[in-house]
Amino acid sequence: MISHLFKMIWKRKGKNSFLLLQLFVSFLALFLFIGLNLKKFSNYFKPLGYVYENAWVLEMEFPNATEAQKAELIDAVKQKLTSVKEIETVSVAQAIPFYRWGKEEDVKYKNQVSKAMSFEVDDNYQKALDIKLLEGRWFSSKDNGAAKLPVVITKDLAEREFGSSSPLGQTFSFGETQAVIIGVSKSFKENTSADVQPGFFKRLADDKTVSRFVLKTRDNTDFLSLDAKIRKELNFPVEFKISRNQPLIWLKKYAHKLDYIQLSVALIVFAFLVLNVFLGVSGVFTYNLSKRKAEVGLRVAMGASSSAILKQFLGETMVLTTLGIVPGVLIATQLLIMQYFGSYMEGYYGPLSLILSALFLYLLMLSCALYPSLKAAKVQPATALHED
Amino acid sequence: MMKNYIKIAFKVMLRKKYYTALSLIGISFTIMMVTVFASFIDSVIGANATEVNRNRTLIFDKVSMYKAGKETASAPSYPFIEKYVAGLESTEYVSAFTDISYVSDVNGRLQGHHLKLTDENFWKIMTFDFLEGKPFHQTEVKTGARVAVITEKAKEYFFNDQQAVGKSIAVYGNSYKVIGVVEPAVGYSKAYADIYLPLTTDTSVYSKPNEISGSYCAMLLAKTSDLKKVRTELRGRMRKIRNHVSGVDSVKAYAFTALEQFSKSSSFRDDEPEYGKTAIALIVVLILFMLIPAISLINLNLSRIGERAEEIGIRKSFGATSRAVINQLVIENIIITLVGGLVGLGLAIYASQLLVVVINSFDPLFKIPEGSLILSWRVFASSLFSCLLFGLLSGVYPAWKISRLNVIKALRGGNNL
Repeated sequence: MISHLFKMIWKRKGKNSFLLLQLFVSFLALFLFIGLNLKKFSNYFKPLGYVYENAWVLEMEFPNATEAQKAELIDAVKQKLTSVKEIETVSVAQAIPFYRWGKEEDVKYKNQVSKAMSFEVDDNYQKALDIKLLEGRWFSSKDNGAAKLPVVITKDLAEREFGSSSPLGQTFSFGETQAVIIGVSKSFKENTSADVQPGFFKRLADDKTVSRFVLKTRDNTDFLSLDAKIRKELNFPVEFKISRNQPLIWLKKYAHKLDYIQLSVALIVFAFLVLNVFLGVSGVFTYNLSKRKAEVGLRVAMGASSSAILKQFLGETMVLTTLGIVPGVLIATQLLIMQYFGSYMEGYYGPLSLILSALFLYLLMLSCALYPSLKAAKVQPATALHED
Repeated sequence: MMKNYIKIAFKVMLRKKYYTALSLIGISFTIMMVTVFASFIDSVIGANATEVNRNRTLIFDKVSMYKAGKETASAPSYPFIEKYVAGLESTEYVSAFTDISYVSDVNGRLQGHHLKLTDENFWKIMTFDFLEGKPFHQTEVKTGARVAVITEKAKEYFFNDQQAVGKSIAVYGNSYKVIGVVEPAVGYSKAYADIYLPLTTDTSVYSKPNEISGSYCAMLLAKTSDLKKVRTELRGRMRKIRNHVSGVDSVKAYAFTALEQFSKSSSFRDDEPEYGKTAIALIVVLILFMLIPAISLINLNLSRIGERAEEIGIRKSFGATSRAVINQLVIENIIITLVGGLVGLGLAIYASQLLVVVINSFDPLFKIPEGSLILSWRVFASSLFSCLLFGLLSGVYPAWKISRLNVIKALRGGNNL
């Protein structure tokens, strides 16, 4: 049956050549579109690893203060913020989701060097963002004066470096620092669309002055009054500036604006290309099948059922689609082997987007062919054979 | 002859309405996409009513500092711009600005505002239409007077329809006197903001007078269109301050026009914009946009050759050359693409507004103005050009194919290719 279908398509190869070209180009476009967006899209369904709804970000500057003065001032800020009744937890951190992310470090474990993100945060950070611990504990004042820097690593780093064995108590080093693992947290990612990166939280050194705060609020729906309250509370005789005083949900909005725009533009372009392919191909099918009425009439007259006719035309469409996308699949596979798209299509995302785009094209072609084929299957042999 | 071709083209279009509709939908959507795409790029790089001198305005928004072979890059600080960039001989004006955002609450209505802190030269480089009042001048910038120029949109938000000049608005707890109301600039351009304030109202602007990195951006309006001169002068100045600035060995500054910055966005190097790379990226996108619909149209045209066989057979038997036949069919195809293109241009006006609405729906606080994607004559010309290209692309092959018809077979009728 299939070899017969091949033969019929081969006989009409001159006529089908542009249809095949169309299929080839559409397949490549589809593959590019799906491949470049699939990973990002799937990231939306992965958990963030923290709760951002109640969090608040405060950033301050003390332009004229010395380091010692700054440390004092930051302590004073913490004191003052804790006295505000809407604020539950005050945390000082270098890394804030949706806003400022950690630093990439070369992590050395058992003489193996690999990359991991480091997040420099203080003891209250876990509470401020509700980071769930899978094992061990978060660092606290107990760790004051510890010989090795206490760190909490994320699940992804634990899986990469330690496999199934427990990482608690293990040590690794980055730069000049020796670190000891005291806890394992859930995956921690920068924003909704970001890739999950392995990373670790390191305790903020006592002598480091960071004037960036993550606050956990009891209720931040009335953010204007909270904003005013915080501004009122923070009063210092020295020169200072509040450069950011906003709920984290706002920063999330800014961070995702571009993402959403990019995704929606990609979707519009995709819909446009699909519409064009659909219009063109269904037009051609309608025309071609209407020209093959005589052939259909003959088959029906010889006793073929209408389902057999339908099967023939849909089968032809499948074979045609296969012929059209084979060169595209070859090129795409080649590009995947060369890792041309880098991190966009690593792991199973490459083959998956290949399969998805092929599947989508088959469905699209079947939907183009369905209506004309149904019409052809209902042809009465008498009228069909009567024509020319 | 041309008149006849046009007549025939419209007759053929009306004969099989189903296929004509299919082709027209495909073409008009293609032209719509190309037009919206072009108008977006145009709003990012092209001159417009506010930024008339865009082709000789350089944007300086990045300094690279080298220390012991290590490079750090950041935006320049205002004192750095004032000391080392302002007053270049080859420039007419140099203006510094920075963008921040502010959310206000007037009568329970929340609204985000883009603030632009800038100096008096900004108003000389840009051509704003003042509906009320005037811009701030050198004295106001020097003294750090709390004055503000707002756009019509901000005026409507703060004062409804009443006169704004002389009244005051509150920004970050401080009160600013409104001295001017302007028509809003095009979104996605360097001129765009809702509220313009003198940069000295930010008291910390001079707090670190020797710091190179900051959060400012400079705009350099060259005297002539010879931008190389400005760049050479800028480079010379940077070379002079080598080893003079504390903490760094040398400094490099880059200033580019909007077009150059746009073509730079596809490469990671700072030194030179790579036009080639950007052009290739643009062409790939354009081909993706046009090739698939074009092949669709070729397919439709090819499968409909049989319809015209008899007519072409008759023309050929009366002595028409293949060339004449090809000409006729290509012209016919161009006419149908032009009709589709006009529909597409009409659709593009609505589509671009829709796109702005979609973009705004992601961020209800900070809305870009509705008229941000305007169809300038450049965009119109590029759409027209892509129409012609599209018509040629999709018309030549089917026309060539039909011109090779065997006359006898064609006259006998039927589908015989």
